[in-house]
Amino acid sequence: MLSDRTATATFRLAYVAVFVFLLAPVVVVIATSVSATSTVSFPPDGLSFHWYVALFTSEQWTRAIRNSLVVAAGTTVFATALGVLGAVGTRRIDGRISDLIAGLSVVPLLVPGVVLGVTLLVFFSELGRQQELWTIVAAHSLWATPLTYSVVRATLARYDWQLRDAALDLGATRVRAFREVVVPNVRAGIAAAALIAFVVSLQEFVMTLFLSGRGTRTVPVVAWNSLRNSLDPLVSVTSTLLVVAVLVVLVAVGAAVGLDRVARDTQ
Amino acid sequence: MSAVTRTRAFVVERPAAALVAPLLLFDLLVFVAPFGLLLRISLSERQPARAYAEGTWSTGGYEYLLDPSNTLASVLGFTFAFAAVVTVLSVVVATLYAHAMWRANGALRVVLTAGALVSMFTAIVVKLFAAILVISPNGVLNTALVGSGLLSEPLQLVNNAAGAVIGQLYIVAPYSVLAVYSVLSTVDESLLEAARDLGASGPHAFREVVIPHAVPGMLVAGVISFTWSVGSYAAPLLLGSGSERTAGIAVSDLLLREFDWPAAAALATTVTLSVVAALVAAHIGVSRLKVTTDAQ
Amino acid sequence: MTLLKLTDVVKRYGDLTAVDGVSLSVDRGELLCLLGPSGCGKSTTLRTIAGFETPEEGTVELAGDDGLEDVTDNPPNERDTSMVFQDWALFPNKNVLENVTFGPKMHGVEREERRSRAYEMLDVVEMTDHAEAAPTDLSGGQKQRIALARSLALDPDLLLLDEPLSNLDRRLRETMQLELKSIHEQLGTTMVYVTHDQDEAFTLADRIAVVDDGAIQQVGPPETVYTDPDALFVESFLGTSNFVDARVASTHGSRATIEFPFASRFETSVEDTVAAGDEITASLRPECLSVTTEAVRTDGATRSREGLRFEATVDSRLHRGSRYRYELIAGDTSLVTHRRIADRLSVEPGDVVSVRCDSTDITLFDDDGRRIR
Repeated sequence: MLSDRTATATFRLAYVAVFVFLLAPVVVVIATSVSATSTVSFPPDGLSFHWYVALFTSEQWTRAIRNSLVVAAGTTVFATALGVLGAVGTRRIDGRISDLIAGLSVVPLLVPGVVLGVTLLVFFSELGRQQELWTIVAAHSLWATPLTYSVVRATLARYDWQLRDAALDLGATRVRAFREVVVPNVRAGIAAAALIAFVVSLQEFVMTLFLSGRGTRTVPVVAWNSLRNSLDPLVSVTSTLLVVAVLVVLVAVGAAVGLDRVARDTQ
Repeated sequence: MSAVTRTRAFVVERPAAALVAPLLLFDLLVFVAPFGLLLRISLSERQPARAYAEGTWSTGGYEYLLDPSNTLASVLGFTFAFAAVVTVLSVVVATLYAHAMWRANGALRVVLTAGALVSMFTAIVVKLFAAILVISPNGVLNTALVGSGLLSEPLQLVNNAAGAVIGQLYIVAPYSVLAVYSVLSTVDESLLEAARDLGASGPHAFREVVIPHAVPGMLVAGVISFTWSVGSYAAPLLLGSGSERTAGIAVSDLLLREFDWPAAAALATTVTLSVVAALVAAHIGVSRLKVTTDAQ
Repeated sequence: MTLLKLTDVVKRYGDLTAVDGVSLSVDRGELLCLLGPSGCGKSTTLRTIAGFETPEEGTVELAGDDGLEDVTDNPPNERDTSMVFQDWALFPNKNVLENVTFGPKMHGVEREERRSRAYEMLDVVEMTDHAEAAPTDLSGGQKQRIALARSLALDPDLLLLDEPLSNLDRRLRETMQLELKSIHEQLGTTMVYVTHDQDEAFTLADRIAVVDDGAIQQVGPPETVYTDPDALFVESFLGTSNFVDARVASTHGSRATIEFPFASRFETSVEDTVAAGDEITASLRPECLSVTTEAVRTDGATRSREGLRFEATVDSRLHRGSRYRYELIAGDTSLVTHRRIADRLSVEPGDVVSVRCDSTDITLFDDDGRRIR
């Protein structure tokens, strides 16, 4: 048997290795995006932001960025709305039925992305509508809605509904009670759900690959197509932007929960 | 009370329940209906290069899957073997890392958790792209290994099965980590201390105390890894060679290259059903596990 | 003058009947306690009064401008009742003042007036210094006062309190009970107070309604309910007692001879429903057992009108802080009594003593728990 010291040292080495493994892509991608040369190499030869400039002069990429943002915005609004409505609707339904609905809403997440992409491609082309942005929003919402639904459901479950009862008891109408006492305390959870939907849509790739066409490709799809051919520094740049965007959103989610408290204290 | 009366009473008592309708309607239109179509197409007659023969009924698509003369058998075989390998590696890595996260305190835990979260929220394309940069013959890893003299030749980690596995691992690892960690985090650390106090060595205590509690999380991690790898597409396509074809790649090829919709649909349906079956089996396994641990 | 009247209220949840035919009336200015164990339906009854539950049967009436009005189907925001919740339900996104002004604000009271009203109530509960504080910064006792001030700011006809002190520690609870009582006396608001703690009920109530299994077992002033219980449940729920299985040896007219397992009998008058051979339960309050070291008279088990007299052996003596607790065995029956330290008995475990209990202190109940003497 290994001595305790050796075991601990090996363990430490192992998890550090995994940590490096997990983060290496992010580091490498960011580093190569600021390379001064025209090839993708790590470590980069010289530092420059000229590839970022190049990105915004590329029509293909700027259209892709626009598509990504439009689709993400659409998904956020749609998936969050469905999730909130669904969570409010199932709040008072107990036990088995609401678990069943939750289970049903999660099923799309279990299906492989390829299969979903292919199925929806066939479906939309049978309807004569293919490669349109709204079809991509619909597909992304399939994956985002179960997430927004469960986040909002958890938020509503954590909320103390006695507060609303107290408001009613003190004379508020149902609408006013909801506005004054439920919404402010549930806002953070809904914001978190919306941000999750945004992130899911931004990085969704497999379904979008099948559903998008020349004018409607999103950033991950353009990156993929580019990667099939060669290593393009612009892919580094967009990847970095994607990572940064996601990180910003993550921080926002964390802050949304805490921001409420800050807002309360400063009032 | 008849079902109608009961439903009516149900709806009247909870008018807000109607709010769940949009969600259900959406799922019906954008999920159930397309899948119904897929199933229908899988049971249509094959018509090479013309998608499928509308309005016909045939099991040709499924027969094609079973036909030993095509490569689909080896594709399915590879897919499941691939999924198995990725699953094992993913669960091992995840348990190790989750254990480290659990034992870590303060700043270290935050750092390790951040590592997992950032990796989880990084897009697949980015991860695979970066993987190429790291593991290709001219990549970071090989440059370091060869440059420092540890190896005389670079490791071939792309354009082969190894590349596909590593790429897929990048995709599933962070989710596996979180699955195991969410179970481990509920375990009381004093259990481990008690084991050490009673004379167990480090690895021994890990095996006797931590693993049994981590098993449900490991099962979830395994299920996630397995089902996503069975349905994998991007990683084997980008980081494997032409011979690393998974079922996902085959579906895409059948649909878009060979224009054989019934066969593509049949394969897609089969893949989906096997994924669902695996999930159901895992669910039963987990609940049976709970029964035995509760009974102890 | 009656302020609240419940008539045969029944509330069911599926197969479970939480409130089973409750009738109650509360006079203006009184504090009525609904006392009972967990799950007996007292909270459901309170919520029905408040308007959060609509009963399947029965009516809830509140005094309006022309006598009692039926408010059974009125929602909570249309009744002149105000509730103090068990975990206080203070709005976390509003500060203390905003919480207390909430009720008047919903009723359209002008800003200046509702602020002054709020400060008035904060003064009553002695929390004016905390007007700008956030509810999360307050201790349990402080939150309880704010919840009370918030409910009182509306000057409701009826204040409903749902075990508001159960989340506080014991000492704080006792302080708050006295404060609540003094606020009640100061403001004269009619209150219905739900609790499972009998000490609390005894401290606060003008009248106690003992609730069990969805029904009211007995209503009355605290002393009456304690000394004159209608049912075995009431007797056993309030305080502690020695319950002994006894038998009706014989009856003649309205008198019966009751036989006890430790070979002692006494004669007393009972309800007509009693017959010879009936198994009954006798309640002997510990404080009513007098213990002496004199030997029992040699004619052994006595038939006496004065009460019970029998021999027992001291089994144990436990020092419990301010009191001694004695366990006495008579035959197969174990009986408990207490003495203050100053009045302790000079007995040791193993001593034989004679025990007396006056017949006026013995309460008898039949098989169904009904009082028969």
